[in-house]
Amino acid sequence: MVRISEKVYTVTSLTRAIRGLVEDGLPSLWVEGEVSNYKRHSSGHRYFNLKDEGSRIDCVMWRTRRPPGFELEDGALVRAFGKVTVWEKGGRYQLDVVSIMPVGLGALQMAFETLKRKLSEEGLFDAARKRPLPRYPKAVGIVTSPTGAAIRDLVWGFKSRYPAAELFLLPVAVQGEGSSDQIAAGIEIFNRLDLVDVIVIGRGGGSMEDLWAFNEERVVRAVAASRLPVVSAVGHEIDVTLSDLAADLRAPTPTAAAGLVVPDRAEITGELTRRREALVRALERSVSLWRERVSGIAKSYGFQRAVGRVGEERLRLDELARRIESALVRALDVNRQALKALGMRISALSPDAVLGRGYCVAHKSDGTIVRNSEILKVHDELSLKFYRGGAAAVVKEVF
Amino acid sequence: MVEDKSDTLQPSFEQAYKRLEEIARKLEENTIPLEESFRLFEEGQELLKRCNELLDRAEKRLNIIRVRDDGVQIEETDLD
Repeated sequence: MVRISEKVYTVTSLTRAIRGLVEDGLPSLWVEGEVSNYKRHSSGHRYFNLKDEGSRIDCVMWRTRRPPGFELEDGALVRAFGKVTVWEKGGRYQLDVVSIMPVGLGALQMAFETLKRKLSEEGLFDAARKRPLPRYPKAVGIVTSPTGAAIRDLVWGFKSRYPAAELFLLPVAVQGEGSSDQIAAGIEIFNRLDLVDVIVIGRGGGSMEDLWAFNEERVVRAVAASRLPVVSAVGHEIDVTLSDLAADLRAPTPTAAAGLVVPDRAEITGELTRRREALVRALERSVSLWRERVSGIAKSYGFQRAVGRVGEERLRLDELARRIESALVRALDVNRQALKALGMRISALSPDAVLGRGYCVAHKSDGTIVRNSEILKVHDELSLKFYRGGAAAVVKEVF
Repeated sequence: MVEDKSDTLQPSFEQAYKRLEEIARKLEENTIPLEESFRLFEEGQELLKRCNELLDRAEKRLNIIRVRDDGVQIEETDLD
């Protein structure tokens, strides 16, 4: 049965209808063919045809697309990924090529490229998403196989560089059935546990199939969603996985990971020593600066005036002391004269002074001073003492 | 977690190191009172000690996390 439109199309409306059918009707797709008429325009856009025995299609690869990672030339057998678009003005359709690869890379590579493009468009690999790693991690979480070479290399690397870091291993299968689920769960568990400052995921080298878990969407998304920074250390230097791209930092190998995650203890020790010396120097400078300030103040006018005032006070004190002293001396003088008079009065009472006036003292032989003749008998011997010298006498008569 | 309690009260290496930088800067500014300089210097010496202690501490274990139905269990294994 033949459908006939009753509407008369313009060329433009017809072309637009064709465009709608083609662009909406065909998904983004891979197409395989041989390159011909390859031309790289001065603008940077690439134009070529893809052909096989039966047909050909115009292709364009815009300058803004990631350049093909191989030599694109006539005769090359390629797989191109893109979308068929219609150019209304020329009434022609073409393949808008997003990425291209040589045939023979296999299904894994294609899956890799497809997922990479998808996640890249979501922004999962954006540089702006990358977070800095902690400079001095206290604890490191490792998600890898407990038996592989990677865990040995990682542990050795961490312990030799920075033994203070505590290591937590979440053992997982890194290849084969279920490995991607285990790796993704491992990342999520570390994020829930709050044990570590940074996560390292990885494994040793192997084929693309061996490393495949680290290209699986579940793992790549877990890496991108991690609250803790993630370092991806998968395979050898040349192996780049999607986990590497999503991680905050890619380590070329597990052995290299420690060098990126923890500082070198010897370096920090040196830095601490320098810091200690700087601290001592700063204190010394501070002290000498204060010393200068203090001596500056001592020389200042205000301080000198204060010192002058102290001097004046001292002079007044000295004057006062002098006045007190002379008062004391005067007081002593007065006393000395009184003492002299007193001494004269006392000496007038002394027996010598009495004897001097012509009196004498008579002692009996037992030493008694004779004051009364009644104690004397005739023939008693007396000792007489004069002002100068003495004499012995005998009593002749008592009266 | 194999950390002792006193440890959580003490500054981490990063905190101690940061504070050290601050102290060195303050001391070099020369605008603080002399007594404060001495106090900062002493604090700096303490922090340096703390940093060195943290660096010298060598973890000799690898902690292995075992996932169980009811949560996780941490198993310590000696490295040597």
